[in-house]
Amino acid sequence: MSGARTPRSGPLPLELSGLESRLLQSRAAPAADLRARTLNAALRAPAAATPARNLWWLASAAAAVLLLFNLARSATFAEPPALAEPPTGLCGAFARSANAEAALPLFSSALQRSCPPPVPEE
Amino acid sequence: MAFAPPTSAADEERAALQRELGALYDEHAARLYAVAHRLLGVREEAEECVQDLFVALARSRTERERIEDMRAYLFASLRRLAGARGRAQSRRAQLQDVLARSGEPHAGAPDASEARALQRAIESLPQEQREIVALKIDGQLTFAEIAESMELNLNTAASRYRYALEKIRAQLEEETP
Repeated sequence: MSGARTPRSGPLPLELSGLESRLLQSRAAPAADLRARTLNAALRAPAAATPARNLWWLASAAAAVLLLFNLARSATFAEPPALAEPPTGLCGAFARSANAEAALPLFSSALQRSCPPPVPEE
Repeated sequence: MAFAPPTSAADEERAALQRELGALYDEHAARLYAVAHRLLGVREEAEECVQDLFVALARSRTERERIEDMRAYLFASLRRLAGARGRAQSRRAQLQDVLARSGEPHAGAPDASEARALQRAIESLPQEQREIVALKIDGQLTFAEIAESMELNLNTAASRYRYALEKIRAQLEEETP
């Protein structure tokens, strides 16, 4: 855009005046040991989690969840619900397995059609 | 993918951070410190201000990687930190007064009493004019950088600087008839 106004680059209305020179001369300089103190303080600061650390924690958390899930599942299968009159044979196996439907959906739906529904203990 | 504990990686990361911060310090710290000192008037406060700035930088690598203009970022952050410290300082005005007049060494100052007179004149300025003088003289920023850092129009920044110099000059003339 040829007609656009370009901002002035801010030329100083005053050149480096005597006052500015005096101000410049009065600039404070940092102590020689400030560098070491500052870097030490910065390196001691607790860093935010980096991607590598994130991955490490993510893997650990996933492993813990998997372990808990497996424990819960084995506990469920360890104690099948007791029936008033335990049926025998294939239908009995189906009835004893509370999670048969979840574990073997095709097989269990076929059994469900041919077996009486399991009667849970009261 | 191997999940080795991040010991050696952490050491490397720490060394890299040290190099990175060291380079930033060497490039900017003298001017950052001068600005902080001009705004706060007390060596200890200025040093802590610079340290806080680098500690904040060290905390997050992703944050550092997002910074497009490090120089502008550093001075804008310093302004915020010094502003917060300045407000706390004003609540301890009496202590500040004692410390500010305790003869802070100034690099290249031809005369300590003149340096104190300049400091008093600057302290008498409104906050925004004081910041502009500090950023321009001590930070060596351009008006464009000052305007961006303070979210001002460029011409406003330049005119505030001019007014500030006029006030300082008038204040110094009052003090030395």
